[in-house]
Amino acid sequence: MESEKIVIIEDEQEINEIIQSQIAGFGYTNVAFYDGKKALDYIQSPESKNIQLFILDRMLPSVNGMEICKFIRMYNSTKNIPIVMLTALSTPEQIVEGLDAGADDYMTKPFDHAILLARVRSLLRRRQASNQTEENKNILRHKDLVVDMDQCKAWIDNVLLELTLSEYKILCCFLLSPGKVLTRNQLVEYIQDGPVHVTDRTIDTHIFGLRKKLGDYASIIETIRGIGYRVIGHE
Amino acid sequence: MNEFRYKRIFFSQIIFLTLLSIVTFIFFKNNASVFNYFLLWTVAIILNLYTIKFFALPSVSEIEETITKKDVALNQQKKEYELENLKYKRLLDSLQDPVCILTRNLIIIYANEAFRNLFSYTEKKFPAPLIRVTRNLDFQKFLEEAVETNQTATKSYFSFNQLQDPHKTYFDLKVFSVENEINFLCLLHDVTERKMTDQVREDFVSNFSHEVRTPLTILNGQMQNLKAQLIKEPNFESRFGDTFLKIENNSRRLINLFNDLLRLTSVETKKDINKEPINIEEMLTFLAQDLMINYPKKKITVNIDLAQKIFLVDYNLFEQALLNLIDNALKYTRENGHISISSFHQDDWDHLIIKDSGMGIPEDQLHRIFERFFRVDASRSSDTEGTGLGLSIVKHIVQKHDGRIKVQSKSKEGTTFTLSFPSK
Repeated sequence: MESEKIVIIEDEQEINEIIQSQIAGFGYTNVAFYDGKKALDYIQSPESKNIQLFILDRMLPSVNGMEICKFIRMYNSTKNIPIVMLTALSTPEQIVEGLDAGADDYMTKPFDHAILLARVRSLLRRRQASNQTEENKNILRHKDLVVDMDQCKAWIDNVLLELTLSEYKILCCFLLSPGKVLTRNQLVEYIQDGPVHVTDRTIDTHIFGLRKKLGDYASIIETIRGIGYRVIGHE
Repeated sequence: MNEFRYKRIFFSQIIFLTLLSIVTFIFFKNNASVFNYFLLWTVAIILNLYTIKFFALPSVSEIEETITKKDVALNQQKKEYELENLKYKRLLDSLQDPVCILTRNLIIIYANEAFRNLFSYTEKKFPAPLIRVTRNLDFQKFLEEAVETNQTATKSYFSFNQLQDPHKTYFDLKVFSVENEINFLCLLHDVTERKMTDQVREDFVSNFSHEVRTPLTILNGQMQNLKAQLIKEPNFESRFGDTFLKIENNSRRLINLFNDLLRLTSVETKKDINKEPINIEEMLTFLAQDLMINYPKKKITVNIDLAQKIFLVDYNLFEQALLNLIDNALKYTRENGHISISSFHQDDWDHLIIKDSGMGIPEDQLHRIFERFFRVDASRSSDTEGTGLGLSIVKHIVQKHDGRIKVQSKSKEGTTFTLSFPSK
């Protein structure tokens, strides 16, 4: 059986090598590219089977990271593979642009390598979980927080939460993608339904309400200023 | 001339009335008949009318002379007007900025050469409808609105699309009414150079920051790899712990500095801010909770009491300003201290007050705290982390909102920042 791979696309040789050395212990085969075009050719080739994660720099020679990210999301065999985007462009607008293009998470340079490894681990866990046969695919869990998508109900320590429909939808969206950064736009698209117009600010208000109802669990929703929110992944 | 005639009529009438009085007196004295009396009156009136005609009314030659003089004056005025008109046209034509005069119905009655060149409009015939000159919808809409409101309208950094203007020129547009609001003057001031300078400045900071970020990432990565290998060595903490801590702290300091520099440039160069009504209670609660996590040992109480909860501000910029101010308050407040945040509305202004019980700022340094890289006395700077750009960023954010920021402080008693924003 072909080994599982992590693809690192970063034009700075030293950074690429550091990342390779740091994720060497994860038990995956590292495939490194220093050029966008070559990476794109590889993704479309038959050798690209079993990719588990992409670590993708945004500014690359020949084809930039944004294009590659969009391609990965469009291409059938790669559209569900998590992407961590590395970027030296650090304004919220630029980060949102990257996430809206399909990245699951981002790291702005210079990043803390320990944090990069933690995010990589979190996304790999999510990937493995989605690869496994899901027996209870309509039950979402985060420690003692349980959401039953069949009943549209959520509990903490078996105590039922009184959530509004929007709060419930946001909670589901978070638990379906633990560790993934969700921009306000993505959340708006997820909960938008019917004639009610949902704006960025409405999302903030729903999150405010949701956090209050989650009590001690409120801290699992991390605010990423100017960008959106993320539910901190758990083991 | 007329005055002279009036004088002649006046004198002739005096003479006539005097003569008439004398004749009437003689007439009554001699007991003349009624017929003679009427005859006398008829002759007198006819004589008077002739007198008026001869003395008062202008002759044909006089009339002709007057008309000729008026014609000359009129022609003179016309020539002067044409000259003046030509002067203005030459002046407008010599301008490098496109200019046009248009009517309320968006009919261009004059356009200078730069304007015609901009739209490659070779016909020199005016009036011409605006739609024949350009079909740019944004430009048309802007002019329509300006004409409708009758007020001076401006728009910054306007550009036509690539097909309409292949050189991609940026303009500051200005439209105002002339000639009793019948016609409107439209000026397009070329600001491409200014735009490019701003762009170069933005690009420089962004590229410079990018170029520094890459080697910093490598340094950090190598340092962490080295640490991962050395940590297995005996006595790692005593031998290398302090060295690694210093490298990590300074690396973080450098990163924070670049991030703040980028933030400041981004606020400074931001052209349009997106003002919307924001419930600041939610924002302040989030921020205070999030920031308190960074100071777990201080046990500071944050009290939020808002009389005015809705502020008309740009969400992201306002959040950044609050983040800097609350973080400063937490940073400089001692253990078990307190921070109070309040707000109120007064005279079309929304005021937000952030008051801490921190170490305060000496009065002689108060006027400098919004300067870039200024930090209150060196000893304090070395104890507390910071780039010296936080308050400068806050000041620029408030200015972008046409707001005001005020600071009051007493050494060792605390500092109060008052932010005021227009509510309309």
